[in-house]
Amino acid sequence: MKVVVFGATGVVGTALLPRLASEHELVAVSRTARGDEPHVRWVEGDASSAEDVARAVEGAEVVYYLVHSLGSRDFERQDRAAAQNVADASEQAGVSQIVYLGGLGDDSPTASSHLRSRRETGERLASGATPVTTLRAAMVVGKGSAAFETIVALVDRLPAMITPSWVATPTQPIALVDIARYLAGTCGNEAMFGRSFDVGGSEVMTYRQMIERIAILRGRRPLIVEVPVLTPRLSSLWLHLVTPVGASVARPLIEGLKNPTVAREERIRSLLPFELTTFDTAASEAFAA
Amino acid sequence: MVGLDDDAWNSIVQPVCLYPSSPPGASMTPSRDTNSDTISFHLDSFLATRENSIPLGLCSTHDSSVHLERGADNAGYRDVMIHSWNTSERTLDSGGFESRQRALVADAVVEPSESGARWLGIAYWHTVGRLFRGAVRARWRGERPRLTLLGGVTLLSFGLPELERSDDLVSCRYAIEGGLLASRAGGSVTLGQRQLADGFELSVVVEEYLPRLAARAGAPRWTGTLYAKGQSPFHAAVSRRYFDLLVSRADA
Repeated sequence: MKVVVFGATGVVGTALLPRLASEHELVAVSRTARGDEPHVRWVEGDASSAEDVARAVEGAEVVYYLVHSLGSRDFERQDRAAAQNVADASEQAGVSQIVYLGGLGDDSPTASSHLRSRRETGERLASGATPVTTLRAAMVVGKGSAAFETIVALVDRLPAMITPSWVATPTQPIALVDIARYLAGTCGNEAMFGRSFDVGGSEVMTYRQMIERIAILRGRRPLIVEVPVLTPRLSSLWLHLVTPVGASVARPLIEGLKNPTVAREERIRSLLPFELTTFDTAASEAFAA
Repeated sequence: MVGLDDDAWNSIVQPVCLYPSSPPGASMTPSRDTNSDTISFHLDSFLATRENSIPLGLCSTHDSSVHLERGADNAGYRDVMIHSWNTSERTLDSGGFESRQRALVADAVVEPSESGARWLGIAYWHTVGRLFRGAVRARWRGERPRLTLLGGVTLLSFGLPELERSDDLVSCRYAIEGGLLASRAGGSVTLGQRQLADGFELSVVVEEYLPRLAARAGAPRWTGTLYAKGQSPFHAAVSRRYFDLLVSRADA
């Protein structure tokens, strides 16, 4: 089966490629030219270009859409345009399935611009005739994940933290290896065509608990004081100062933390059963990577 | 009374939460429990027709003709109608307090699974935080919530969620373990979804709760004014918003 992956150089895409490469004819799309690898053919292309997208999806049966323009000034518009290109080209090429990784909590009426963009991207992808399978996940725990790296940087750099109230929001982070496994299992799976699935990790926790768990793994004991007055703007500027994550990425992420990102259903567990990785194991593997 | 938004105030200062006016097509029978300090009101029949449905989110039960109007920020927020809701509260023989709110919806808001049951609980505590704009919010130790004032003072503490799921019932129950607003440990909060013959019932049930602010047995009724006028109305106000949140998030 010919499978095309947009966003192949991202954290999730990189983890997904080896799982697909062993079973499928794999085409990975990147904005910069890369040499082919065993079982992976790299194609230079930009999802914002309709021509590039049409060329990449030609003859494909399954298309993965893992693109996210977070960090760009107008990421919402860019993501909508790119998703529309992929939806149109997939319909034209007779693609059987588009697989999309969306965000848990993106259906909240008070969703942040980041989560709203995730939802709109899914809607654009589904605007064509190609069935879309959407997996909705919260934070991905793995090396290179922006949200995870932000928390690790906070733990590593700050002996004490004054945190906004969003640290009390429950979330259900998922290990990078687990989300890659779910995505790979979705490929060509007709039972999943045209459906949306919540993909939660093994544990529900608050961001504060996550900070504390990471601190234990890193051998640190930061003092955490919650205050209700820190705005997302102030928080993002602070993160910009003390972590490697820029304010343009941090702010939309932080705004998304006010709503719980917890799985409301677990239908995917019966379709793709396997034992989920614990948070501590996933975090430890990320540190070791 | 800090940090309440306008909608929250409306649902509290108007008597609609505790004493809903009867929507067209329904009858309401006030009843006094002989062992109760509190009058409870029940809608005798839930509304069966869409025409009489009450959009819970943005209107009071005084006007059942108002429909949801969503702004740009609410794009994608489906126009879910809650057919009806009711609220009742009473004092039990044991001296414990009971508060029940129920809403009828056409479709299930959660599936019968552990995740579905857990979501019923998480959404409830999230609603509390939103209602009070974070001034009163849940803090967590593992999966045990603690309702705090300004993130510090523990108003109520709860045990681990007891999740129940079957073909026709999904529920999440938290035992009340203490806190400033409880005279002692005891009672529970149960969030549930039950399948009925022609729809689903969402419920919030506070049972056997022993509020510190309520009048003690044998004491003059006015000694419980702080509870009756200050704390009690929030049960219904939170539930009303909670049902709204559940239905708005049900159409993922």
